[in-house]
Amino acid sequence: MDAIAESVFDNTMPHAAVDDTPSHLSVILETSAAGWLAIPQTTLKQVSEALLVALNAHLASNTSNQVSVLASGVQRSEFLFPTPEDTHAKHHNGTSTLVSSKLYSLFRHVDEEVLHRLDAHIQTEGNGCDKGTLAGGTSMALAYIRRCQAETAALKARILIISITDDSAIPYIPVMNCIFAAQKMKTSIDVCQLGPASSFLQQAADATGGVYMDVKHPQGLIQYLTTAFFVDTSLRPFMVLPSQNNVDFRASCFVTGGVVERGYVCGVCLCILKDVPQRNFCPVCGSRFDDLVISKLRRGPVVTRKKKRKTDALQTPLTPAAEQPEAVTDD
Amino acid sequence: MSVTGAAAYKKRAGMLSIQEELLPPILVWKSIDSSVPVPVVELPLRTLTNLQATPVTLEKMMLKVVSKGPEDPETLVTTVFSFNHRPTMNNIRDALQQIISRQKTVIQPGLSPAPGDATQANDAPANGSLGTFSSTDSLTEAKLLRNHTLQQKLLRAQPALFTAFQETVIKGGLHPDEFWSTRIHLLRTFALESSQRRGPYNVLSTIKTVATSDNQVNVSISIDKIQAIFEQYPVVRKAYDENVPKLSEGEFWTRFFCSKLFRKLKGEKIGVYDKGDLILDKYCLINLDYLEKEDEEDEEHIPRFLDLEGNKDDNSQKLGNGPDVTMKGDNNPEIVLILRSMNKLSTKIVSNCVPHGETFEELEKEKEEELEFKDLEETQPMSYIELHVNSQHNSNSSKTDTEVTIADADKVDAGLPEFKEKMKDYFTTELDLTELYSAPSRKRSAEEAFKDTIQMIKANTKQLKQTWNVTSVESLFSGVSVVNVTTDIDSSLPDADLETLRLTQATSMEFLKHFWVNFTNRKGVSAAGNPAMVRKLYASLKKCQERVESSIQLVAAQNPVKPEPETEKSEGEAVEKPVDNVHERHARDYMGSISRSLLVAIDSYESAVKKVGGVL
Amino acid sequence: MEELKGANGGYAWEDEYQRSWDIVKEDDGGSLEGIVTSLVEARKKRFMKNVTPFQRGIIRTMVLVVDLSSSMQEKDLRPNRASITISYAIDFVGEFFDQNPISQLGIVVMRSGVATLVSDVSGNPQSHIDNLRALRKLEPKGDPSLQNALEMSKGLLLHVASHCTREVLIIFGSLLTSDPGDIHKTILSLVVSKIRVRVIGLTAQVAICAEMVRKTNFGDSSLYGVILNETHYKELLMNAVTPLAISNQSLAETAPGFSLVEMGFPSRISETASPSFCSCHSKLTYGGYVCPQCLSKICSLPTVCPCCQLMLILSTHLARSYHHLFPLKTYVEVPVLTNYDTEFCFGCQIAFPAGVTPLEAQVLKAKEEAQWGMKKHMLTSSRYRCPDCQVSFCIDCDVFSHDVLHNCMGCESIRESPSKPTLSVNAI
Repeated sequence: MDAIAESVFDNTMPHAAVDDTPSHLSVILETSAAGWLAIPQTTLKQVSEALLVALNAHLASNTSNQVSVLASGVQRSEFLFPTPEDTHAKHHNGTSTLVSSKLYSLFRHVDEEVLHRLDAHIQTEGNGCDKGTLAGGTSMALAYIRRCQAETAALKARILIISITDDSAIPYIPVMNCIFAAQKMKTSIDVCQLGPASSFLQQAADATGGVYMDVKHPQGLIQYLTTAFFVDTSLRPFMVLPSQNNVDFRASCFVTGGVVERGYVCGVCLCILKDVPQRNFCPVCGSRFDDLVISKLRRGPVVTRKKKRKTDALQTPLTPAAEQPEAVTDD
Repeated sequence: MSVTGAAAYKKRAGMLSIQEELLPPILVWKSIDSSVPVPVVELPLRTLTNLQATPVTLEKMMLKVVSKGPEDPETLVTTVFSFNHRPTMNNIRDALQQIISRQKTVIQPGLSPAPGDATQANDAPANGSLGTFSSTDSLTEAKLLRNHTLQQKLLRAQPALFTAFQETVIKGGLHPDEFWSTRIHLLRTFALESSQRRGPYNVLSTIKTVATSDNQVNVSISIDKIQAIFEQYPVVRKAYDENVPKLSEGEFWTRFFCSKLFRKLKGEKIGVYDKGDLILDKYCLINLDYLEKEDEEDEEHIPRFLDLEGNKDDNSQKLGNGPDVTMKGDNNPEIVLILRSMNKLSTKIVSNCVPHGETFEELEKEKEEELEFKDLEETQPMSYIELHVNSQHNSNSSKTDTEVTIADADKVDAGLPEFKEKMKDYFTTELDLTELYSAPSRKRSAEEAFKDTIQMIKANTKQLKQTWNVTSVESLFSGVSVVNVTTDIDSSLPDADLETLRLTQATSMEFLKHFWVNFTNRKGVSAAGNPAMVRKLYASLKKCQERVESSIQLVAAQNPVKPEPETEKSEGEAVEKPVDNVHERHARDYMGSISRSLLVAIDSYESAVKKVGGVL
Repeated sequence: MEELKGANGGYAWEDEYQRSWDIVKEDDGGSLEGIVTSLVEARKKRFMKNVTPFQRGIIRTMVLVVDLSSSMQEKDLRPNRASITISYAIDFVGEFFDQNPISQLGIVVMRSGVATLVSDVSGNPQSHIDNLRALRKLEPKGDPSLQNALEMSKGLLLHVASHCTREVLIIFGSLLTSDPGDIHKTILSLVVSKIRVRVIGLTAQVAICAEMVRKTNFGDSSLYGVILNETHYKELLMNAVTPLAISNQSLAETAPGFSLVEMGFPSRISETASPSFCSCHSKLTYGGYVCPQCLSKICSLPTVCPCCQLMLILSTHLARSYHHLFPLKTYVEVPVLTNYDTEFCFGCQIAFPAGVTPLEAQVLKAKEEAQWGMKKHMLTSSRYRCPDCQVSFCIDCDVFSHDVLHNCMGCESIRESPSKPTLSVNAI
């Protein structure tokens, strides 16, 4: 095993991090059919197996630990565990069908419930729209965490998102609202990305102190889940987390969707635009911009030239990358 | 008023009295018996220097008065009086003590205002303006830039700013207007703070006496307070004008604070037995109303509003047959006087607010508006502008169009049944969770995953010193993204060199700032901007680059590194290995960011000029 | 006017004085549970606010004026007014920058007849908090001077860019003001400079404050509040965190035309080998944010680049203010029915109380009146429904959604297939 001792580690006294506060883990599993079919290396079945073992491990760490699981499909987000109706127990009277009956009863209970509900969830999936329900699932997880924290005295919580879709399926503002709510509730959001890289989820992990990892070996998911994503909330400030540090913070233009490094923001609706709009109206909220302000923005850099040239200044739109200077008369 | 008492001088009985109303005021002892050798002893009060009295324990009651001699001020003459009655002696002793200490009053320098100043300052608060800095136009950029006195004051007050000023303007050649144009807000706040005035208030009530250790009572007043006193109580001004040439400043004020006039103006009750001041108490009796009514108009205005409730209160029926205390005759003159003086003072203070020149009709109208029942009127509902958002142009919205194209629906449809089938199969048989780590393919993956994780952790620990990783947990959960700068990073360079580098960097930042402001011209007034200034700044940026380089070389020179012994010729070639100066490398790294900024600024100017076809 | 009528059918002031402790009486079983839950729900319902999206001034510049005159030594707020004001002000600064990350704040103090600048106008919350902490050592004395404070605030706000709002928040604990000149002239000049003043009074309503608020806010007097108790004080203070809505009248008076602001979105770099000087403090740091225009290294965002004066923010900072512009719709309470179609809260899975038949409802109401003497009935279905997606939530999730989350869980979690019309949601 490679040595990871570095001079940056100093000897600190054992901290209050070694305490017994129970921890709540909330897992959100994305179940979009298109997403799963696009990942050849692994299947939902394998991932759910790894997930179950991780849940059991979490429950095993502390007798008062709690767990909740949600599924976020294209059409619907719902709780897989815990559900108030307890469908499995009602129907099967406690006998397990999908999981070995030799398992510890608590684990068995959770695992059976999750698997049955997951099955039901997938079978009843329909067609959705271009934006998924990940924000909804995260919101529900946060609401449930809030309820648990109100019922139990000192409960730490964290959220783990197992994601398979990219940014195009994630609605921006609801996800940002979830991130800010998680920040306020001091809940970290970890992201286990099986699909293509997602900058929204990177920002979510970075803003809440969570871990973002692009999983390159999905077959070994259990290894990721039990090491990188297993760190308890109270320990996070003291550990070096294997989180991706290069977060893409650049914004995207509301109109063209392209990446914006230098852009313009409407003072009314705060939409981000790459270029000054042609007709002095905001494309999103329709407010009219002050002409003087616009003309100031369209000014090019001030340079001296030798020849006099008369060009109509206002018709040259500015691009932030390369400024085209206006030719200004010397008068 | 004079204090008198029976006293004996040289064993002759007589009367000792302090005559203050005479000119010059004297202390005189007259013997009852006119046949004594010294029938009269007169000592001008001005010559008294010291006083001594026998203590209470002694039976004899004697008072020793030391005064300067009539012909020669250097010699001291001692006069001794003996008393039979202790209270008399105490009386006279106190009065003499007061007189002596009054004469000895020392004014702290700077306290005495010239009467001319007093009049000037009185005008300014009266017309309701705040002084030179209240009006908006005096705080405009142009005026502030021209106000060199203010700039100098600010530089004196803030040494850090002064060093920056020295470096850039005096040594670097930046125009002072440019320097200040980016620091207008500093000038403005400084101007605002230093030009405030206090509102008028009852000055006398704030004057308190302070007892010092050696039995002296001190009163501290500043010029502002004196001016306020003069403004609020013209009587005092009159007294001052009339008396000061004769009395000294200190004496005047001492007399004032001991006098009945002071207490009366303050609003305190004056007992009959209180000792006052002879000269100043004359002013008590002046009719204050007469003084002030000199410039008022003669018109009598009859108010159109009758205050019925007020009249009811004044109605004598409530109090039997006696009218209200303010309506009675002069039985209790002090109370009435106090009320009158307070009212006068309040009217004067309030009159600062009421704009002058308001006609009587306007005042009446205001009163009418005051009496209206505004509470019962309907409140206007506030109408706000609504925000209507056009969602079609937004690529970030989660709202979807009502018509999804058929093609999309098909795409989603295709995968779904197949997926569902697959899943149905999965969830029929019991899962073997041990497969996770027993199946060989999975084992391999797990090991790969482990390697991945460890690598990431290693990379992250190297970057642990990234200051944003060392943030506190608190700031992690707040909205502001902060890179923690409070911890000082240990540098291998000595402090002095670090400071040199820092100074160079700060100076270059200053020039860069001005360059960008003028180059992009976003906030300027004219569209054309100032190309000549931009060109000058471009030249100064090039000089900055040189300065940066020279400071690096300076640091390198200060910390020379001995050449390594391995720089020998190898294989016959005269290869000279360049000396690797660690410090120079560090310095260059430190200045890395500013070098890059300078480079990008110079490049953008050159490319802009090239585009326009101009010449550098 | 119907709402003004009290329970007796007469005027509200003719009702018997209701003491809150009288309502709380035990029921048959000796338990207070029923009454407590309904009281708690009633209080939570107060969170319902008007939620049509208004145009608001999002980029704000505010001056906080704190009264430190002798009246602030009163002990009617514990431990005394001045120290509780400073604690609440520190909380306010934190909340303000949390909700308005691209705004700026300055702090001025009224003491001994003059106004002093405590903290210069800036966007850095830590410096404000440090300056406020240092203010604790200053003892309140003297008279407050509203005119001096207003003149100073005006000077500070004078040359703020036109796309920012200019606001002043005064915490006023006295009943007088000692001014060197005519305060009415100052108020007129504030109106001309488009500065909006709000006042929180600690003692009683003062006419000059009411006039000031009314004149600078186009006739709206609701921005002047006098506190009833400590909780109310905090509430009024936190109300000032929400951006002000722009009224139609102000639009008519000013020239039409809003501002487009140029901003930069920097990326983060990390320097592993050696630190370099940052552009803002001239200190050695190992990394930071890089301005896209001039490549200078900045330590914290949001800020104005000290080199090229470009405003630098992250898109997350803008996102923090979106919920003001696109607020979540108020949930509607489901009326009391015999049978409900939902048993559990959609958000947190908590169980709802069962339905009541009309007979049972009558019995309960009679019981409430007889036993607890209540005129207003507290029977509630405890279900709150989103008007768009028709999903029911419990009161806690309702409050959570409106206060913290600003998302409707139902709207985000349920997407119908294209054949049905899509649900409109609270998004752009």
